[in-house]
Amino acid sequence: MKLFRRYHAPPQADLLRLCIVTTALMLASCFAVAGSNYESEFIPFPEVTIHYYDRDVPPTQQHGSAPLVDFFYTAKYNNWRVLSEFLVSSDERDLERLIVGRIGPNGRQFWLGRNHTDLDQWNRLFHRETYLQTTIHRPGIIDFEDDGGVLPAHITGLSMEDNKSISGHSLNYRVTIGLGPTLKQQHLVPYDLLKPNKNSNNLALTAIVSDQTAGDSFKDSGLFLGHTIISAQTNNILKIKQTVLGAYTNYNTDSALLWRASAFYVVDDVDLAGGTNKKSSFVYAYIQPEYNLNATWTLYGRAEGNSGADNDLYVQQIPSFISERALIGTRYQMEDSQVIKFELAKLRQYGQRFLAAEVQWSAAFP
Amino acid sequence: MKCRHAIATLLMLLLSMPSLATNEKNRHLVLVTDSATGITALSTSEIHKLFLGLPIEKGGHSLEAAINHSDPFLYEIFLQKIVYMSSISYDRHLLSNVIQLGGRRPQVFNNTQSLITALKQKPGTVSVLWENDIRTRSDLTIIGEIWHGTIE
Repeated sequence: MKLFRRYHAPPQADLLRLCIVTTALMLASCFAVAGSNYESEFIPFPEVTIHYYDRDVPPTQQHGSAPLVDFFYTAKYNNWRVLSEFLVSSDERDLERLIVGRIGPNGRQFWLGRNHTDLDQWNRLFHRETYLQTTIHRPGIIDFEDDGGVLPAHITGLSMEDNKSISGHSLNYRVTIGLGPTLKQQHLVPYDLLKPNKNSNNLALTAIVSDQTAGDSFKDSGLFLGHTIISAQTNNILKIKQTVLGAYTNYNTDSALLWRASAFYVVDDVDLAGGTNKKSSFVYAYIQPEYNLNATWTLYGRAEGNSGADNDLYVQQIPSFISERALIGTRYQMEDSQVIKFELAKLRQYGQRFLAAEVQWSAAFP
Repeated sequence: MKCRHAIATLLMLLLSMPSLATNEKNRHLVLVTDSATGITALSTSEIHKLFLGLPIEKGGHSLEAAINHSDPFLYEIFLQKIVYMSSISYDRHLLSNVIQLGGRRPQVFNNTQSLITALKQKPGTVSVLWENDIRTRSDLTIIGEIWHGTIE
């Protein structure tokens, strides 16, 4: 929902970031000529979202449009990989991901850099690409930091991932340790690779264990956890020790109907300036059925809500957090990697309940 | 004279029968790679993973899938027998895979000859082809059969 805020980033900083990323891509292209085992892909993911709310909910706009492009670049040299995402929108230019990794012959992976965390399934499946998502928006709790998410979506550090095949199942695990976000100006701010040492980011740890079966039907379920120390510079809060425990599942019994569901238990231990401490916890859950009418049309819905989040001092610091939402929508997939989505939602954000109607066009080129 | 004419007509009919029969072709869709790799077979799980874009290593070679788009019927069998997805879902899956693991999506070939050239140029590349397209080539090896049947 940050897409619609009335805010503009300083142009000089944006230009510097853009120059650094462009130079990096040019160097990578030179490397491509030198190495015969080098392969790469550059995929721009453009999107435009048009919205209308039934009331004015400051600081958002009641109606408007938000164009955005996520430039995805990846390179492969033997077992080594580089992945990067650079996001450009009307109010944001950000190096979303930049990781270097190695995938061993047995599938074991090591990654270093700024990546998305292991909490829930959305980061792994879709990253920043709304084109790949069925819905227009992610569930509120795992929205990106600058869109009102209350869990860290980015972590800068080291990841390890491995899998083991057991009688048609693939058992996967992934552990990441690195620097988490800080809390500033009513939202989380992840570690910025292009402007390091400006924030006092603390250590974060996330992990996930999942079991997948693939074949005539698809089942993917897992457990995840995270522990993050979030330093804060707001409202006498010094730091928040956040612990997340959760479970997710993707389940389809046939090719037409898919269920996605997750549940989170979050404990926020807030250290205040006066030496006092306030600890609270809440539960957040969502369920999202998706029904494929045919290869191009999908009908979907999602219900998400919480118990106890309103009383959490840390959550109260992030007013853009979407604490409840019920939505229905449809996704139309065109042959040439373009998608149109229509969505109607009733949600709670910035302390108000309102209705939202949105249309989104998104694509993947080429 | 009439008898000789009748015999000639009958002979012509008999001779034309085999050519009528060949209109219904017995086809074999096979999994193919370069003979130099030394790979003789892949398991069902390995084939599935390979075409879903996951890393597979066999016989010291890092395997790569190449997609044969030269024949719509062949591609339809490939989708049904190997990846169990519709064409649109498969494209979406490959895109999702590349944003997770990096690298490159499998190359798509609209021409059989250019696909065969790619199999030769990059050992470890695996694709699906009609068996009769590679029957005479000793430099390519069949490492599995995906489907067989008759096509009218």
